Amino acid sequence: MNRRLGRISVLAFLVGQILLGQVSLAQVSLAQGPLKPTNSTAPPTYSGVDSSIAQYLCAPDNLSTGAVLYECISKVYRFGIAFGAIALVFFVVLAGYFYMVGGETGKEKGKSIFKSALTGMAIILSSYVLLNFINPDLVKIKPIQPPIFSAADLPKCEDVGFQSGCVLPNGQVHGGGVAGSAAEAQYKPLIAKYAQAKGLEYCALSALIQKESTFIYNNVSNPPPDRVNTSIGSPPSYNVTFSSGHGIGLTQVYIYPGNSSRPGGEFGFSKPLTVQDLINPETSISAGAHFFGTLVRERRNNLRQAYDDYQAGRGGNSDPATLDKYMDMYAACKRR
Amino acid sequence: MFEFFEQHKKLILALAIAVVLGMTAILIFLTVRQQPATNNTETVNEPAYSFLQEDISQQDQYLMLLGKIVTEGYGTYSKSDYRGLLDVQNQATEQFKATVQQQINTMPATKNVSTVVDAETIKLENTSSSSATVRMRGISTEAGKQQSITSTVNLVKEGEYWLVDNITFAK
Repeated sequence: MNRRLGRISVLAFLVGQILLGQVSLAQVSLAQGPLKPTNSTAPPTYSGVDSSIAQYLCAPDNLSTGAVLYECISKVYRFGIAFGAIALVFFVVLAGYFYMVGGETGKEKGKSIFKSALTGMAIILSSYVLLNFINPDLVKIKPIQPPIFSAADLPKCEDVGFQSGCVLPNGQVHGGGVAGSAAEAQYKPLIAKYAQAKGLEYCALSALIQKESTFIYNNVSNPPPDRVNTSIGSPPSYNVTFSSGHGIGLTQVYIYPGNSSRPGGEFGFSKPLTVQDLINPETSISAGAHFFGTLVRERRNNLRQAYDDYQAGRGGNSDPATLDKYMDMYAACKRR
Repeated sequence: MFEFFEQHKKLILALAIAVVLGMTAILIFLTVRQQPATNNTETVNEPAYSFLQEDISQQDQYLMLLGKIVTEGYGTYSKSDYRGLLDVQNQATEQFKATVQQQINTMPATKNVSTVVDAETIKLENTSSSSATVRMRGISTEAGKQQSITSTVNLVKEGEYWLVDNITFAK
């Protein structure tokens, strides 16, 4: 009886590995989700067989995200899934082998192992269903959210060993090399702040703004003149016609024809975003960063696809030359 | 349930052997297959221009990319969208800002031109700590008509910024 219970426990553990893997799958994508900030050391390069093993290594490959622990847990789970699945197959094959070739004694032994496997699976399944029924959160494995700092909270770059792309306590960004442009410089602290808050790389967000608005806070697309005139009337009535669609502000959040605002939900705001809101640099950068961060995660860090979605809507089909421009700006920013 | 296994014992054993052999073959194939070198998402998110892969300095790569960006910005505009020109203006010397502004002001309403640079032709010349020339070839398209161009971008360093001092297109 004790041996039987032991076998059931082992098999229950192995099946559990598989089930836990199932509930952690969503976290695997999250673990690969947010882009790394620029203030990182170069991750190690793997090739050949190394690259297969690397996915199970827990060595920190990025020292700056604060996500190393849950990335590591995710890797351990993936290893557990692989190991558990192999072991389960082994036991079922073993049971079959005993049953086929083991004579009368082997048959009983095979049956016993097979039944134990089924029993273990039933126990795990029933416990999963029960826990899920009581509270679905009990079977969810959540990533450990790294703390989000504002620029003012951050320590000096030198104190933490960063050389470039680091936000200084006074809100200034230490470029570490050649600056981009004076137009970009005035928004660097805001770009750094919201890139970090929304899990984006500084250069990914900066390139988006450069391409969308060339760092002109009141940029408006369609039609020219391409700046919102803020001096018309009081309260302001802008030189945009709501019968047309317009991209407004630094991140060119689009207001559809026939609307005077854009619902704020997908941009991280609880209220609609008006023209007045969108020509505010901080609101525009926050809104654009929130939405772009969502797209980057949906596209599993493929920036080109995320820029395509941002430019032309989800599943967008932008002109490849346009997407090349985003990527060039991103690559140039990375080399400054 | 177990009677079924008893009846088809040989067939099941043969199938099991076939599955094991098949899986072994797949495993061997996956193990010996030459895997492409991979490193990280940053590489995936980089343009595949050869000069970015070569052993040249970050600054030189930056200047070549800057030359490409401003050439395409300077050569891609219409009356309804000239953000590329504004981007060049943002990164230009005072003298060249005025040239770009002149181009914006005098742009014909029907003008619609786009320029794409062939990244593999970008050459960096006369580089010093305060100036550089970037030369490249590309295609300019206007009203469906394509024309080959050679762009020369003069860059100067003012303070901490590299600025565009001049762009000339030769056809």
